[in-house]
Amino acid sequence: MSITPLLEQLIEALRCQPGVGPRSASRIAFHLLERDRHKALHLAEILRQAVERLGHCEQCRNFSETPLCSICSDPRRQSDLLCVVENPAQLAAMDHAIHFRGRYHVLMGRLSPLDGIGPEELGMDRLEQRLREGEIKEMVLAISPSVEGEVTAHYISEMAHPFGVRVTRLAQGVPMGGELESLDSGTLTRAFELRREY
Amino acid sequence: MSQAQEDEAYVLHSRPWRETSLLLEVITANHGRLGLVARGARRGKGQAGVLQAFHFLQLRWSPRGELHTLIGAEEIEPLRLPASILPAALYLNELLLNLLARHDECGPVYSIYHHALRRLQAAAALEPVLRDFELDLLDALGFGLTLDKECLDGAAVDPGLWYLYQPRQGLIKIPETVENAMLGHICLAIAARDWSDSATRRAAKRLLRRVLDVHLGQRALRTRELLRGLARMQQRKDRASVEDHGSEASSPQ
Ligand SMILES: [Zn+2]
Repeated sequence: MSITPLLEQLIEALRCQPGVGPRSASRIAFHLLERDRHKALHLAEILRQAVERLGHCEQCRNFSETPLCSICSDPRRQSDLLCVVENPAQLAAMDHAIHFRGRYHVLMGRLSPLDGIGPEELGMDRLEQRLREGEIKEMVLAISPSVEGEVTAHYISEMAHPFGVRVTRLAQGVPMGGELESLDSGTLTRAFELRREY
Repeated sequence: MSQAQEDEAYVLHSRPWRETSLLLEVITANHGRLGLVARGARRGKGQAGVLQAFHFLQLRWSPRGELHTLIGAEEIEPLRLPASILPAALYLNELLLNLLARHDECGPVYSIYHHALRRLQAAAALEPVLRDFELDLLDALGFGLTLDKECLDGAAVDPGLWYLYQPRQGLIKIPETVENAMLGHICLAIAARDWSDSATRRAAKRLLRRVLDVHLGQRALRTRELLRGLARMQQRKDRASVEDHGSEASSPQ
């Protein structure tokens, strides 16, 4: 099968997704064109609508089709308890797994100056503004324990200091079903440091 | 297929690469700065936890072109820096990543970095560690600063006279103070790495920033911005706790 200019453009366009190389891109392109033209049109339409209509919630920065997302505008949610997550996927996981009834703030990343991501890129001023408004009493940091995660957590806790907000962080340690001997030393050290009464 | 190589190293930066891998920038004891791909490191039982910045590792890799392939990594000794130190430590990494190219021979830079991290881990005062690192790094890269002699005639610096340091040239005696001028005794204190006086620390910070900027070209260091933000918050904290005490908190980089 010869590659026409349009097909070449489609393959190139599919490669914009993370983890999609030239081979997977052509596989996807052939599949969409040969087997699933209807779904391909549907995908194109949904993608266009999503890009046009999905913005960020002005309060928590999560994806939202309205200025205020459904969580931020839900009056049954506690407004004095805030959980800070890195991305929408973590928010969904947290909200699904635990019966958290507070609100969220979505950073959309972690502070990583070496990747060009600073406080400005993460909209830290927006979070500071929420703290300044004075309603929040406790802020739970649900941030991954990597170097960038540590820097992010440190930055946010420094920022929260003048507002007298209680800052907590998700415990770190042994995962459920984890074998102790297969843990790396960092995880094991954390688990030991954060041990508690039994 | 070339022979596997092995060396001790520090991870300077680690970022996601393709679907499940990591791209590591490392500095090694004998092979300079390298780029390594850790295949599958982000899968379930991968080594992502170990392959993080500041980790001190024994690495094995198979050399190929620009990016080598990591085949083994074992932690030599756990080095845990407190979160409050990490931004300054990242500044060291950003300097190295900007001033060393991959595959560069970097001679003593590895041990200079190793030494600086040990001092940070031992909770040494931040500013002297950073200034010593900057001066040592410039020395090792062949851009060392001479601060006890004038660059034109080699005359010894007089503690009571004004001098101006011209990047790439050296100290020049000037008749009266101008922007960036330093008194001779400050030049001598920096040359002797005597950081006991806050005026010396301030002057050294300004001087090194000017000199480093020449070598960094147009690249702005993002860690500086982060450190400035944190210093501002620290200042606010200090003001709140001791309203009347003239405390001085400036960013350490
Ligand atoms: Zn919202």
